[in-house]
Amino acid sequence: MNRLHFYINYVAERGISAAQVLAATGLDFATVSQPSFLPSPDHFTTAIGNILDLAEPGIGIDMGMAWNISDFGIFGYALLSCERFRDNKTLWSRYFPLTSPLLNWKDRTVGADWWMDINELFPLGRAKAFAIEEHLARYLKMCPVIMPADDFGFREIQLSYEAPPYSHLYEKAFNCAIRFNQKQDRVLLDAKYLHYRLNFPSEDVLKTCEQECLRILTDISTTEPLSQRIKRHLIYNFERNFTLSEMADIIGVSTRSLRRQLQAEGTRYQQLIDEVRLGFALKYLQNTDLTPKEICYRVRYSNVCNFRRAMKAWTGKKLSELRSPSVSQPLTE
Amino acid sequence: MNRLHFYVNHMAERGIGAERILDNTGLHFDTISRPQFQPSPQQFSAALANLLRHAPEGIGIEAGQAWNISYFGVFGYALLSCKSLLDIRDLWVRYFPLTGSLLKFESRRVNDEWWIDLRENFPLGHARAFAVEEHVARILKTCPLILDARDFGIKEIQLSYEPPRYRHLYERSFGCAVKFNQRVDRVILDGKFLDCRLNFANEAVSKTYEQQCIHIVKSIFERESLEERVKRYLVEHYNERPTLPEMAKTVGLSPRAFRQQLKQAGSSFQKILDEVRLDVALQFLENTHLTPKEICYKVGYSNVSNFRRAMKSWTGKKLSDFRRPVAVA
Repeated sequence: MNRLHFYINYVAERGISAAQVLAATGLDFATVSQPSFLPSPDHFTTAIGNILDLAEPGIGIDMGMAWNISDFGIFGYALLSCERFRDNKTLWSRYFPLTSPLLNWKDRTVGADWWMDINELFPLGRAKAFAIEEHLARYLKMCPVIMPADDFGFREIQLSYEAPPYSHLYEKAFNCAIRFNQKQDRVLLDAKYLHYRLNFPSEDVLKTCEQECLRILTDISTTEPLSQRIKRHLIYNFERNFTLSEMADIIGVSTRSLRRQLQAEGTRYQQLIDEVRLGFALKYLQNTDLTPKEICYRVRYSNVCNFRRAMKAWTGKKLSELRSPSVSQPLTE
Repeated sequence: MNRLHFYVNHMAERGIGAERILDNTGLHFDTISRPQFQPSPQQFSAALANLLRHAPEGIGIEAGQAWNISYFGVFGYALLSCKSLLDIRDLWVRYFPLTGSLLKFESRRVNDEWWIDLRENFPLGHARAFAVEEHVARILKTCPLILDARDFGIKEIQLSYEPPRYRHLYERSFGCAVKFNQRVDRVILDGKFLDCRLNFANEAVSKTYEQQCIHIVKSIFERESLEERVKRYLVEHYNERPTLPEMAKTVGLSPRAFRQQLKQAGSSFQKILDEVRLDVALQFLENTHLTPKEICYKVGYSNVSNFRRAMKSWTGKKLSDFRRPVAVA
């Protein structure tokens, strides 16, 4: 069950229909419920926007708490069957696309402190607070179930955004120091948990689960066009640049055949890179107050003129026209 | 990890070496640690007798607590991914050979309670207390991990045997009323746990694991000869006494083909049946206080004279020669 499918099931119990969640996404429920379907970033931001319009505040926390590790399907059981909690990290790095993620995280331990920096995989706009709430709540739900850690909790939460009107729900759910308006979204945990033995370790099961995870990843990649697969990889690793030959290595084909296959799909590698970068830029324009210059650097254009020109060529509109009215002041016509 | 391997490992941690547990079984540690290895009932009960001789009292409780559902591998995960305790029960019954269990569960709902009766799979004698202790400790260890219920506990335990010297360990470990000298071995749970959601439920995944279990069971059977398979079945169902056509059906053959295949292997259904009956009788003689008459009926002989004669011709000894002095003391 992909993440979007889970959301739909969850809000259905609260009287919000699949059609309402999927409004303006171009998706229908049958598509979303296919096992090999992975929603795109646009699908997510639109659908979560729909949910936030209709549901009660703090729904991210509720959904995270309603989630179970087994909702990850076979990937969840792979996590469960590891020897120690720290072994989960390897599985995450290998198979996290299977979780249809919105966020990624980088962690480091300093003595007894385990810091986890949380970053959006693509510009989430107002879905960002939702995604973080969900992520933290899932963590709180999962950890005491997979290992003997009844005392599991966060020591501190730092959030880059302002305290929402429902911030008392954060305090109630997370039960630790919560600081808003910080530079980075991150949480502090006790590093001791990394060394905990999990409740259900089994080498055999881990092996078969991993095979199955690999199979699903391969399945997804053979049913979706190569261009889409490359785009997903570029999105999930947006902070990095990949040359054509690096990408060919990752996909497991020769550079020649990569070029040829993309040509057959009517596109080129550089075009995919541009589309992903401009897609990010568009999200920033619509969902944030960042200036064009800031956005230009975030999406790695070397100068603002080039960036303006590329956006114009791609969308046919000027940057100012692309700003969504809810975020920026409407321009005089 | 098969059950014997688990015990040997567990005892090794307590400083009791593998060779002492495997004494007189004809087995070596290398053999039992192979992934495909399954001990025969005879090997198993000999090892169990060694274990009980060397281990401290109440070792069953300790072994149950040290055990983990994930030691069942894929089968354990099939159980984990079930959506309720009732589904777990069904899988347990369906893939019983994978449990390697010494006891069978027969469970039923009685008003707002769930009664789980523990029945011997083959005559356990004084290993019975061990087997019961182990099962109860396993239930107490596993349920709180998999049930979405913080308050899990057993309501009452009824045991068919006399209170052992270490009964205080029962009270301490089981946290409920324990009644001895009852008619059956029974664990009583609050019925509400039957409707409880399981933490790791996922129907699709459970199906996948079940498929793999079918495959594993099949491969166990494929490695066994027909003779071994029939023997294993008869030992595990020694009180059912299937007829030849019934047995043929169980192993998926026509009565004709069944008879022929056994004949080719130099055996016959009657021969296997006799062997198993006498073997089970031997277990009863060595491990229980039952009289020859009682044993004779238990293993399906119509009269005691025939039984005595069969035992004599099979073993060359009289019934009384088998009585273990320790069992009587």
